[in-house]
Amino acid sequence: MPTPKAPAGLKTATRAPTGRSRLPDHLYAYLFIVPVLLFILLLVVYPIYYSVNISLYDINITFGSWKFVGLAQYAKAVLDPAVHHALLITAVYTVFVTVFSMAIGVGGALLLNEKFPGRGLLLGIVILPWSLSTYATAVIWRFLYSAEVGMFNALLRDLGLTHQAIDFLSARTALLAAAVAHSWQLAPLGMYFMLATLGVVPDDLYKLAKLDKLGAWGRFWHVTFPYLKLPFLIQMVLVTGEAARTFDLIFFLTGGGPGNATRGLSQEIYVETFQNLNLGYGAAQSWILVLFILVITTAYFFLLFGRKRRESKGQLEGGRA
Amino acid sequence: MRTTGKRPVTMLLAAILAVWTLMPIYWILNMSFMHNRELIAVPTHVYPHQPTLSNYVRLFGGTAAGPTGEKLLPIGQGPQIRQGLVNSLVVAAWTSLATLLIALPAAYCFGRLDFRGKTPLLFAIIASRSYPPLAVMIPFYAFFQAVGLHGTRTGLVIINLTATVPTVVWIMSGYFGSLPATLERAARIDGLTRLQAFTRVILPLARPGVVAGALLSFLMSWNEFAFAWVLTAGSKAVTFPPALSTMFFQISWPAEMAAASVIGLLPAALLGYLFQKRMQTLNIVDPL
Repeated sequence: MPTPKAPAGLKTATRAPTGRSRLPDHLYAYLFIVPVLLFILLLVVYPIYYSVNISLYDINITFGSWKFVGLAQYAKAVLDPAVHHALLITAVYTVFVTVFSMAIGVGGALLLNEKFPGRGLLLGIVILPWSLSTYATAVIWRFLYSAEVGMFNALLRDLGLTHQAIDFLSARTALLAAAVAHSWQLAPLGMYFMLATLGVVPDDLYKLAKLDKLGAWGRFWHVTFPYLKLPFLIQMVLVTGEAARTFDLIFFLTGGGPGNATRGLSQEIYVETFQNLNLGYGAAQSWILVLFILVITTAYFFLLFGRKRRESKGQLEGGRA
Repeated sequence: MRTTGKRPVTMLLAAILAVWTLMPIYWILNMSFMHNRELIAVPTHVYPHQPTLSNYVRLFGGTAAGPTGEKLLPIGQGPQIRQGLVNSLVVAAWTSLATLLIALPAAYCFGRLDFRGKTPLLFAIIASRSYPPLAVMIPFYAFFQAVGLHGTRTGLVIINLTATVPTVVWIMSGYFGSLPATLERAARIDGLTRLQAFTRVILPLARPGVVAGALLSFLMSWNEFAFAWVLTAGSKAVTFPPALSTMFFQISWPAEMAAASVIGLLPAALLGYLFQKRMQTLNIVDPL
């Protein structure tokens, strides 16, 4: 049975150079890292620069004309009701996905931290949704939600609970339905992250907590959660980023519809850029999305660690020793 | 790991987690082994009563007997699905190899050496993953058009590297850092240079981690949809996800669509399972 090992920290490795070497360590390091940085500069920073640049222009593909408009595209986006709607959809969707997948992730990690027969097998199984792509997830869940061949409607009907097929992807429920599907796929990684640090919570702490008459919630909050903070934050940043910029999942599951019920910012950007060919406007919108993700991520960081970031990091590492 | 007295509750929760995880995958597998008319049976068939491989056989260009013995012709989208599979395989293999070549030496430095600016440099590499792919789609599109990489597998490998290299640098830094330093030190005392120590001592020692990095970059490449769709859909370099998406948006029968999807998700599930077994030895959460 695979048992999660405590992540090995700094302490196991001694990095002091001992042998003879032609090059000092730091030169070796730069020698190996500079190519990676150059690569990233070329393939990440340059496209970002290009994208910021086109967001300052009004581009007409047909005539090949570039008209510099400054921040006009951004001003247009800020006032555009379609963008307001898309931003609202993205925000609600992000909240749904984050809450669902963090709840499933923490719950699954706590469960898998218990001893029970079949635990090893379950540990191997729970990762499966994570290994599937978002588009495959969307196709799978479309077959679950479908009115004609969907599993949910089939079971509900056979159990005599419904007489008419429920449209899970209707305007009122489609966003929620998409969020459930996305959480199914995103949660397993969090389980694994958190399980790794749960393994190092000293059992004595639980005994002490019981002596202090802490209830189950008290034990979780005061004993377990301090150890979970770091993987929890990392998973939350990942999940929020994935949810906020989700494209494939909505594209396959609802295509942004019905109407514009699931048309988030990514869908809006896609339509502006590739269907309406408003390249500059699409680019401006995508930087609004980047800003949106950055604001949330920073907020998490302060919420979870705040000024105590240093202490809690020290505590985590103390827990591993 | 803890034991509690609440065994039945734990078992019940474990069963719920297993059903939640597997049910969706089971349903699409179930559909893929059915003839289309069985999909709409009332009451629902929760397993194929007349199991058939016809959807798979016909995707790969064969003919098969239908539910009443009639001859069913190959599925029209079969060729593009097969071409997609080959392209996806080639792109993922090259992505995986190139990722290791670029990322491993850098990860080794982050994990084993001390130098100025280490933390900010690592975070700069990680942060390069945080932009939304849609934001850089147009620049890549324009750039690839200009240099003739549009609709080529090489172009897709390059795009995939922007995602895989930072990820593998991140997870492998922690892994190299956690390896025992004694062997390397012994090698250095024996007169090996850093580079020799890396290739002859550390790399063989780090094989489980290297395999994990290769699996992960293969998986990421295999699953990539958005860039593949914009850059290869309709071209000779079309990978599996855009090929499947074309089939999805054309008129296709649910059972055939299910079979095509299963072909794409089986390799992913296998890679995910293999990666999972190694993930527990990686220090993904906090490599520095």
